[in-house]
Amino acid sequence: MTCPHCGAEIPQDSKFCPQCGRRLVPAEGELTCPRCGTKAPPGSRFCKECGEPLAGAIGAETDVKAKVEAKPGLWEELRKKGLFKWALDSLGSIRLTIPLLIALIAAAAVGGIVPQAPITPNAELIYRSYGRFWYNIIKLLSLDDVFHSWWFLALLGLFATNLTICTVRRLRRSIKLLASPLRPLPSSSFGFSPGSSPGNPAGEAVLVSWQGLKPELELEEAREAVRRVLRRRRFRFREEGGQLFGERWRWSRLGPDLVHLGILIILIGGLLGIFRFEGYLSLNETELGKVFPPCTAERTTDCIKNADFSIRIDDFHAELYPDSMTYKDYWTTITVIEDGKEVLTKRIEVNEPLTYKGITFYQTNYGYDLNAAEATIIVEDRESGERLGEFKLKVGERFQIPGTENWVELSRFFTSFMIGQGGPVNIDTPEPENPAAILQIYRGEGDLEKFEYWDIVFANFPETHLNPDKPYKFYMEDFFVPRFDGISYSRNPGYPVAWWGFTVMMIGLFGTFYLAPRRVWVLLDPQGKRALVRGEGRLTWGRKRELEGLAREIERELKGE
Amino acid sequence: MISISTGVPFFNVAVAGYLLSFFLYLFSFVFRRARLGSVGTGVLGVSFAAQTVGLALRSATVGILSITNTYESLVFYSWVFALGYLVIEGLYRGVRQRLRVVGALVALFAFGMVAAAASPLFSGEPRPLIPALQSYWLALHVSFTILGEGFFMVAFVASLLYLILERRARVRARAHVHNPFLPLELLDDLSYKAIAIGFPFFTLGGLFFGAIWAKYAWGRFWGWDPKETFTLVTWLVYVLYLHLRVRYGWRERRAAWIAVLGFILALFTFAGVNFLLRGLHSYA
Repeated sequence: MTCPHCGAEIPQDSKFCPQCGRRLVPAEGELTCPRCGTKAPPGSRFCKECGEPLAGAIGAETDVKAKVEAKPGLWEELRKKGLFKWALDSLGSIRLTIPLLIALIAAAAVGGIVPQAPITPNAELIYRSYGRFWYNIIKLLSLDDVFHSWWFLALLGLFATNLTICTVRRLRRSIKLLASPLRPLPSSSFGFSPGSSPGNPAGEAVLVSWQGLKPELELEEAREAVRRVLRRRRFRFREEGGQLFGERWRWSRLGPDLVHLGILIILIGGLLGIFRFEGYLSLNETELGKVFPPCTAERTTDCIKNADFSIRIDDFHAELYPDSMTYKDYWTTITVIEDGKEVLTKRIEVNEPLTYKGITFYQTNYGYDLNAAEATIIVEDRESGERLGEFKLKVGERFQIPGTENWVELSRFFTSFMIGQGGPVNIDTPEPENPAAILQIYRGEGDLEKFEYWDIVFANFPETHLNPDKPYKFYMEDFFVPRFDGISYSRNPGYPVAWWGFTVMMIGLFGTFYLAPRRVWVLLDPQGKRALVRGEGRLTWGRKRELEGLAREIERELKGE
Repeated sequence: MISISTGVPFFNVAVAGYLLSFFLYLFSFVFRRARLGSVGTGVLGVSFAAQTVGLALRSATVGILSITNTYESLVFYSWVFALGYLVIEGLYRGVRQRLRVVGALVALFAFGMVAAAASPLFSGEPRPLIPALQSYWLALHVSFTILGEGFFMVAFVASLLYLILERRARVRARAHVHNPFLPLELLDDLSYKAIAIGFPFFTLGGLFFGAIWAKYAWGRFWGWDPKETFTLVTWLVYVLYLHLRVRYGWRERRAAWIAVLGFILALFTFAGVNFLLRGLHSYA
């Protein structure tokens, strides 16, 4: 409903206006005409001034601020409303929204600061950075996995419930408000009564007086001037009872409703995420042309879940910036095969995935497939310098040094070898910068084997050897390490829903703040040769400035400038 | 070939101009000379225009809106601060002079941002973009987020000044708070307006465009990455501000504190998360 005193949009059945504090229900049986504001004795059925029926009219106006009535106890409230309505009211209350928002802010901040579970090795990291005491607290409240913890999900659930009830109630109110026509305000709410002295009235209105400007101006001319200004300001207005009143950007009243609705839709989209699936396909450059079929009960690796088509990876490649070791781009050419027929071929890149039948394929990984590396190892006798043999082998394979019972295994390969904190590590560089291999030397083969020692060969530093006391020197003469390509795929039925939610929310936000709805009432007082302009709700500093802008424009129009 | 100095002469004009307009605004506030304030706005406008030209040149050379590293973000921040203030001043016809105390601080912040960018701390050399950043969503996501934050910054300055001036007024004359030279109501109204202008842009850039880009680049639209999380925290603080103000009638001092907190969080999201927390957004 609309407050008849100040025009604010207020909750149905309010006893006092939450904006101006004036009474809205009859006090001591006295009545006020909703049309002209005249007070009527108790029991009147029609207004003595204008004949408006007074059934359901509002009570006498008091400028006393609304006193908060004694709050009924919980039990009393429960009995009066019934359990269902009471629960609905409590869960949908703005009094709940504020603490919920604060709790969500706090929870998210904690989840943003404490390293969250997917970072490995998380438990160790937390123990080291926070100490035993905090480690136990973090574990107890799962602060290292806030966003999947029961209490956070409960909080979100409560928030969603609160928002749903609020949205439904507010939407109902907004629709009712949009459906009901705007009405003139009682003249008393302009701080004006017929015959009062002209001047700036105390109250919520801003004054435009043409007494001093152009006293000969007729009422009709003044009215026309106001009309021109309202029209120019894009107000849709009506005239009734000596007032011009109207609104601007009326539909923006639905703005906050759209925002709330949008957030709910986004949350539903997030919830639909439980039906998502994802997977990972990878291959190295020696396997180009490999086909990844749909997964079946028998085949669960190197396949696509929930698909009825196959993917063939034809080619992949990376490009560097000229004179630089920075990747410019990586891309993969993939072909979709359905029922044995090639359907489409597309090059996917980072930021440019392919979506086919709802499943999206992303370029996610690129690098060296160290486990598929191949090297040529040369063995030399340390004493004589005699070349004992040259062997080409892959990681995990082994060879026998001719004429001995020693076997050599190529156990690890590095493109850019470095000593890290926990031993040798490989640095992921676009080109091999320090190729190396770890060799393990065994005595015997098969069941009889016995680990003897290990050695490292460097392609760039052939004369670096670890074991001067051992009879062999190893060299890596040649190597080949294939590059690999990683494609991840996923399908999330929540996305389209979330995009719609965001769109609805953005329309609501821009409507609310950029096309802010406004109401204005202009009362023309021909005796006092003045117009009183007022808006909706309390006259705050900002609103007053706005109304004064409008008043000055009317003034200029009256002067005929 | 991209050169280090693309746009820099224009940025230098902006550095000098922002500092000059800070002093002009300051003197106009202290000595109550409206003329000085108008000149200050003129200088701010010219510096802003120069910076716009610089940004356009640099963006044209790089081939994408130049917000790809810390240097460029700082320059962009200062540009948005100036923009935010100029827009706000345009909205307050008739009371501009009283607004210029806000202008002074905004100009100082804008100066600080370009000056920090020009310092040897950050390399101004445009670096080639790694594949993950090669997307027009980079320009949309970052620019709209910072645009929203520019207005939050104006609200922050206004709220900070409100808190300082209001406190001083209370201390000086307990009985007579309303000093016509202290634009308290103006500051209060201004910080709400600035937040109302910035909030939709921040939502659009930070949350919506961010989510779309994350979906294209990483395959999911939300993943509780520290930067995502703190963007949400910042957003929720402004949501709180709006609800407390509109529904609970929180104004003035209490509202000002939330506006201050909101911007501090926005700054932390921009800078703190990169340096203190690790996550997917660590590109700088």
